[in-house]
Amino acid sequence: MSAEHTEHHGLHPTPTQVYSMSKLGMWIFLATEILLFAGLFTTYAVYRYRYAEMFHEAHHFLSVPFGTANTILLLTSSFTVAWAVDAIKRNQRQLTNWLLVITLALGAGFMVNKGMEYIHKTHPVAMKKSTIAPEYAKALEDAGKCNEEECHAIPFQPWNIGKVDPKNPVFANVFFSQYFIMTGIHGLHVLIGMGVFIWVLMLGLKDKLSPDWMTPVEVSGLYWHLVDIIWIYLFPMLYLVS
Amino acid sequence: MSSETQETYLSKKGIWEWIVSVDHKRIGLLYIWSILIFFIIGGTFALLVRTELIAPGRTIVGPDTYNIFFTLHGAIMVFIFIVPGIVATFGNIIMPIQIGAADVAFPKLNRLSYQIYVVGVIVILIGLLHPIDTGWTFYTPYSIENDSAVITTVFGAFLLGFSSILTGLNFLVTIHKMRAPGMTWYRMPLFTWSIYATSIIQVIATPVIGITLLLLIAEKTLGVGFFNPKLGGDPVLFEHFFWFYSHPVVYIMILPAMGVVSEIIPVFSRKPIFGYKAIAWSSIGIAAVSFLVWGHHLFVSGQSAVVGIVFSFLTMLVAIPTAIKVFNWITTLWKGQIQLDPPMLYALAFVFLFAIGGLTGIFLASINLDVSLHDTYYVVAHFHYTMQGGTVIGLMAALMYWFPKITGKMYNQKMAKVAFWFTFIGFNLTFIPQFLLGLHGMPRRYYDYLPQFHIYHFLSTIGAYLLGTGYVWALINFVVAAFSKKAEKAPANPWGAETLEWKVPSPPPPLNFDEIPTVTDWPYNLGQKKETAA
Repeated sequence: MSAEHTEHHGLHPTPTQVYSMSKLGMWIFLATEILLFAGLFTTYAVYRYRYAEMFHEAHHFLSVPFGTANTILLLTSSFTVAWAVDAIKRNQRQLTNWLLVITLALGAGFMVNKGMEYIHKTHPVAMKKSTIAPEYAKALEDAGKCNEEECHAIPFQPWNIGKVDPKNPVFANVFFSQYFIMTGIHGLHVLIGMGVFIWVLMLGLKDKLSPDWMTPVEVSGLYWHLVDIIWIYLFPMLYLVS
Repeated sequence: MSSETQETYLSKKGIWEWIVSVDHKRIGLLYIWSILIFFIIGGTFALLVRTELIAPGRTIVGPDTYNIFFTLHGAIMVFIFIVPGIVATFGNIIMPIQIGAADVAFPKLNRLSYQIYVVGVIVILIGLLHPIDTGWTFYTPYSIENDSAVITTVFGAFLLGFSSILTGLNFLVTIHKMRAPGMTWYRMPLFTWSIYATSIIQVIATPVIGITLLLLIAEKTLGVGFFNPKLGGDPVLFEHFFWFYSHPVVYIMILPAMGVVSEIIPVFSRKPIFGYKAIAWSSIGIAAVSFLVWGHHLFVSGQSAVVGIVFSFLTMLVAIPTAIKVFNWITTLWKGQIQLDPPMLYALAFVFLFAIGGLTGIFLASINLDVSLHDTYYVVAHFHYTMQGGTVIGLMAALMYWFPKITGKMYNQKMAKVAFWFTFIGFNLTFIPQFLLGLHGMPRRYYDYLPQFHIYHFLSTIGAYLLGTGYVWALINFVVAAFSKKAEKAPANPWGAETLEWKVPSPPPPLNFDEIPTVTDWPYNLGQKKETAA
């Protein structure tokens, strides 16, 4: 795409057309994103139905305050980005940039929070028990899976629970698979969204955004709202099940 | 008319110009080259498989190599060749011109789709050549426990899916927003309608295979338990997910071919298309029903009988919109002045072969018959009648039809007709014996077989050689015409068609039109005035 390409007897779309095409394109893209997460929601529905008690037990390992804090962060960021779209419509360019910065900060806050949760979930000391419970170790020893020393040294992690609960061999692994994959893929989307906002912010700082060219703000905002909505579903499904 | 001096989309020379170009025609042509190269590679593996099966026992390779051969054949043909198939090639080159646009809605995204496709092809080939022996379906738990290159191959398939999504998205927006003034929905050529229906499936179905393949990678790398029964997962769920995409995807493959045939039949019958709206909406109908039939792949996988019956019924519904198309094509032919030029030969072969493929599909859809036919050669033959007799023959028809437009040259039509008969006879000789094999209980994918199956396998292999000869012959004919200085120049409208791509020079200028045309009528007023086919 060079300059000679852009001025050719009206064969190329005008900014208004590009705006409407980009919006439609983003809506279709959001549909594909919903279908992507629909796969995960389906596995969730299947396993929640099949292992209802286990989901209830396992969700106690998740921290509701952490989840709530993240929900608030994302909801606020959705508000700031909607405000940014409104601001650029009114040609308040400075305000738009600041709102994008705040959105980015909120997104970063979400990721930091999420990262702390991940470390917490996968770190045995943080889980307050460094090894699995003695009765599990004993049962494994009786089953001949390991000798006494090895059994008592198996690190305690949600990840490992499924492998070490002798009464219910699938305990928790499915739930935590669900948790890590769903929040992981969602977190990836938050990161991508932040990348997009950095790009939009660069445009803003170069003063390339205006009421006549607000497509990047609006389209990236749409994407961000979807990321937010997905979290709104993930939070109760994972943290508040009972 | 094209003159020596006028700039065409092919004018700029050099590899770099092809790499950086965002011209939909150039990108489409790159897709054509890519898929045809892999068609030949995938076809070579098919011939190796057939050669091994020409006689019982070991013929050329051992059983493990044989497993790798059919996996390579299936994976290359499905993921690299036939999914981009007609939609990424002719959808790209022809569709924007048909609606009177200078390019697709997002030209750079279009280039990105192709780049992702290339990376996906490289990744999947690294996986496939490692090699991999799961078959192209990657069924769990075998694919989880198997230590061949599943992760790489699956990641390659994921990338190809992503490319397909972006292409579909681009086409949907293009058709919605870039139609020329006066190009109403009911003036749109039927090929464009079929691309629209295809794009809907690409956009809706592909993300599901995307997440499925990601989950499979996570199973193998992180040890999560979605599909692994040892960890509480469910392998049948994988099959559900896999087919939720992989059944609709066969309509991604076949719908554009139906669109091609809907263009060719009226032009070579010199008659307006019969039942335009019915054909247009049946494409959308097929797209809609395609999402509700995946369970017919799981009739013997342990889904409940009730679910099986529902899926059996829904699968038979597909026959309705499909038959609507076939009847309308036949009615278009009725009392037409049928001209048996190469595109028409392939289009008629499509109708004939696809009808066989479709009708045998009804046998497989009925749950009680399927229990006996499942995983036999009957399925293989049915699949190839629809996908090869349908899509590949449709692709050949499209190449025969639009080749003069794309290259500005005319191929040798006599050679093309000879190649056609090799293809047509070879095809039937390959796959009719396979129906019989299936009915007699020969399972698919087996390396060896009982002596009583020998004659069918022998005939099928001979047919495959004829078929291969037909395709190679036709493709060599194209390559010679494209690069030979002596090849006849093609006029703008060699077939006397009415769609917009025939009103621009062959090959078209970089931006297709001098100015965006205004459309006043549908493109099927054929044979009502004296046409002069050049």
